[in-house]
Amino acid sequence: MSIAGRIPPWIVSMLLALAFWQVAASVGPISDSSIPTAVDSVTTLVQLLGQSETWIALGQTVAIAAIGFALSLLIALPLGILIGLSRFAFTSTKFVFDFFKVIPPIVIIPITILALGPTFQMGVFLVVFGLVFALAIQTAYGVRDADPVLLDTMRAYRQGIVTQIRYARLPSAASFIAVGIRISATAALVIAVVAGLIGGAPGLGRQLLLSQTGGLADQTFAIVLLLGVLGVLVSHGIEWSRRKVIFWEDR
Amino acid sequence: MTVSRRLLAVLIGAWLPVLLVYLWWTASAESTNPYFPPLSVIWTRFLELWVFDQVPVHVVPSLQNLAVGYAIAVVAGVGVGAVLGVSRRTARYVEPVVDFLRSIPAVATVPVFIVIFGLDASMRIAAISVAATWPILIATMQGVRATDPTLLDTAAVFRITGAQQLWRVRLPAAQPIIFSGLQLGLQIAFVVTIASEYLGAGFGIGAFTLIATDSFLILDAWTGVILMGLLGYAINIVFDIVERIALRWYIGQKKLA
Amino acid sequence: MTAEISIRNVSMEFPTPDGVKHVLNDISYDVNQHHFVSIVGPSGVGKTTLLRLLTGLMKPTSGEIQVHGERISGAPKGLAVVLQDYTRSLMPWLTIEKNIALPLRNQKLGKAETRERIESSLEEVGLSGTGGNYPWQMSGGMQQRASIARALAVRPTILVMDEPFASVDAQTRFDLEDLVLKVRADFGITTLMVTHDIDEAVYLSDEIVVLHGRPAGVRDVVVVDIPFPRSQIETRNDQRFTELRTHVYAMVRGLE
Ligand SMILES: Nc1ncnc2c1ncn2[C@@H]1O[C@H](COP(=O)(O)OP(=O)(O)OP(=O)(O)O)[C@@H](O)[C@H]1O
Ligand SMILES: [Mg+2]
Repeated sequence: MSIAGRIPPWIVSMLLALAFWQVAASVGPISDSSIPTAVDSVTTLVQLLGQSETWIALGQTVAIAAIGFALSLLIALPLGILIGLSRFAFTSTKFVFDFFKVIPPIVIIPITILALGPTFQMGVFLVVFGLVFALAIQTAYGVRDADPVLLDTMRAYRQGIVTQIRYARLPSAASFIAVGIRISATAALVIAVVAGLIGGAPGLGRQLLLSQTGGLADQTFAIVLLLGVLGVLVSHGIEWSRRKVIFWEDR
Repeated sequence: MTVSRRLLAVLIGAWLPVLLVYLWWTASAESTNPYFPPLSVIWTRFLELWVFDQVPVHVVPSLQNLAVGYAIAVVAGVGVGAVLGVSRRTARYVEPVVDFLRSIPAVATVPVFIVIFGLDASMRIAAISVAATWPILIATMQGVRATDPTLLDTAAVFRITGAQQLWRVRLPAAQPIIFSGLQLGLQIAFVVTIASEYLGAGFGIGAFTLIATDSFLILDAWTGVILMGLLGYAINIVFDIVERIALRWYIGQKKLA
Repeated sequence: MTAEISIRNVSMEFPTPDGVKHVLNDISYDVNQHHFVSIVGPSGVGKTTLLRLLTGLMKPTSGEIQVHGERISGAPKGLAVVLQDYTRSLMPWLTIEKNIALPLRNQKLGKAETRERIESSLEEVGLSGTGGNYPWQMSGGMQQRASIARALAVRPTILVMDEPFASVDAQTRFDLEDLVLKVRADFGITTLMVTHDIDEAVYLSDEIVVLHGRPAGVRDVVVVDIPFPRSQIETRNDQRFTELRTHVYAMVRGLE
C-alpha cells in the first residue's frame, strides 16, 4: 500500500477541511469579510497555547464545569431517588421539573448577572441550573423502572425499604443515571463556556468574548478551535470510560 | 369515573407549580431588594410590555430568525445526513469533520459568524442554522444506516431502489431517530437565537433583556427572562405535539409490543 | 411447457473470516410456467440463499439464473415476494393500502387503476375493508395475507415465498395454504416456496426440490402426482400423500 493510503481518513478529511477554509478565506465570496485564514488561526492557536493566560482560562472553564457537575449530582441523585420512590411525589413534581428541564440556562443569564455578577459562582450556578432538573428526572425514572416482581418478592419477604432501595431501586436506576451523567458531562462544559461568553464568568468563554469585541479575528477563531478540540476530547473521554465500564460489567 | 380520575391527575400535577408561584408571589410582596422585585410588580410590567405592545418589535423578529434558521437546518441536516447514511465511503471522510464541528459549543460559534457576517440578521440565521444542523445530520445518518435489512430486501425485490428507496423506505423508517435529532436541533436553535441577540446588539427578545440588565431596568429584565422561559417551554410543547402526530405509527406500534 | 425460471449450474460461496464458505454447489433446475415448486431441506442448507439469488438480491459465484430465457441482474420484472417475517416486511409507517400501493408506483398506473388493484387484491385474500389499518394493528395471519395482497397487486408472473407461514398458528396456516392454492388457481402464477414443513410442501406443490449436503446440491426432485383441487382433509388423508411425505421426509433427513 502507498503511504497516502495508510493515512487515517480522519486526518485526510481534517486537512481537506482546513485547505477548504484556507481557500475560502483567501478567495471567493466571504474572503472580503474579516475571516482569518486557517493558517493564521492555527498559528494563533499554537501561540495561545504557549501563554499561561490560556491555560488559566481553560482551567477556570473546566473547574466551573466540574464543580457545577459535581454539585448537580449531589443534589439530583438523592432528590431523584426520593421522588422516584413515591408515585405521588413523582407526579407532583413532574411538571415543575419538566418545565425547568427544557429551559436553557442561557435564558436566565441576565438575572444571574444581576444577582451574582460576572463571577465564578455565577458560572457554577448556571451549570447546576442546566443539569440538575434533567438529572433528577432521569434518576427518578430509573428508580420507578425497578422490576415490580422483584419489589413484590422483597415486600413478601418483609425486606425493609433500605434493602429495597439498595438491591432493586438503585441497580435499575444505575443505567438511567449513567446515561444522564454522560449527557450532563458534555453539557456542563458547554454551559461553562456560555457563562463566560454571555455572562462574563471567567474562563475561555470570556476570552472568546474579549477577542471578538476587541476585533481580534485570528484569536476568536483560534479559541473556537480550542473549544472544539476540548469538546472532542471530552466526548471521546466519556465514550472511552463508558466502554471501560461496559467491559467491566461484562466480566 | 375516568373524568374524575383525570381531574385528580391534573390536580396532582398542578398543585406544586401553583404553590410555588403563590409562594413566590407572597414572599416577594414586601421585597425591597432591588434585584428581586415583587412578582406582582413584575407581572404588571410583563402585561404592559408583552401583551402585546412590544411583541412586533422584539418577539416576532426573534421567532422569524428561529424559524428560518431551523428550517434551513432541517433541510440541510436531513439531506446531507441521508446521503452520508447511504454512502459509507463519503461518510468516512466527512464524519470526522462533522464530529469536530459539532463538538464546538453551539453558542461559541456565534462570534465566528459575527466576524464573517457582521451583526445583521444574516449572521443570526447562519449561526442558528449551522448549529442546529449537526444533531439533525447525525441522527439522520445513523437512522438511515440502521434501516431494517428485511425492509430493504423487500423494497429491492419490488424494484424500489436508489433515491426512491431512500425517500420511501429509509427516511420514513428512520423517523423516530430523526425526530430525536430534530428536537435537539430545535433546542439548540432556540439557544443560539438568544445568544446571537445577546451578542449582536439591537432588537430581539434576547437583546431587549440584556440591554435592560445592563441599564439596570430590572423589572424589564425579569419580564424578558420570564418571556424567554415561557417561549422555550412553548416551543418544546409544539414540537412534542408535531412529533406525536408524525410518529403516530411508531408510538402505536410500541404500545402494542 | 416452457421454463419460466432456469437455474443453471449455480454455485454460491461466502467469504467469511475463517475462509470461504461454500453453500450451494452446481445447482441446476428449471421451474415450469404455472407450476408450484417447493424447496425443502435441512436447516442451514442454503434454501434462503437460493431464493435470494432468484430474487436478484445476490449474485451467484458462478452459473446463472434466467427468467424467460434472459439472465437476471437485479430483481426481475414481474416477480413478487412474501417473506417469513411479516412484522418486518410490511412498512409499519404505512397503512395496508399504502403498503400495497408502494410497489405499484413504478408501474405508472392511473389513480383509478391503482385503487382497483388494491381493492381487488385485498378482496382476493379476504381483507376487504381493512386497508386503512396499520400492519401492527392486525394479527399475524392478517399481516401475512396483506403481504400476499401486496404481492398480487403487482400482477406478478412469479411469486417467491420464504417460509411464509412459519410464524402463524396452525389454523391460520391451513387457511393461508388454501389461500395460496386459490391464488394459484385464479391467476396461474408460477410459485416458488421455501418451507420447513414437508406436509405443507406436499399439499401445495407440483414439484418438490430437495436440497441436501454441504455444500448443498439438488438431491432429488419429487413430482407430486396428486390431482388438483386439493383439500386439507381429503388430500392429507390420501394414500399417495402419505407415501410422498414419507419419501421426502426420509430424503431431507438423508435417510434414503
Ligand atoms: N451473507 C452470508 N455470509 C456468510 N454466510 C452466509 C451468508 N448467508 C448465509 N450464509 C450461510 O449459508 C448457509 C445457508 O444459509 P441459508 O440462510 O440459506 O439456510 P436456510 O436453508 O435458509 O436455513 P433455514 O432453514 O434455517 O432458514 C448457512 O450456513 C449460513 O450461515
Ligand atoms: Mg432460511
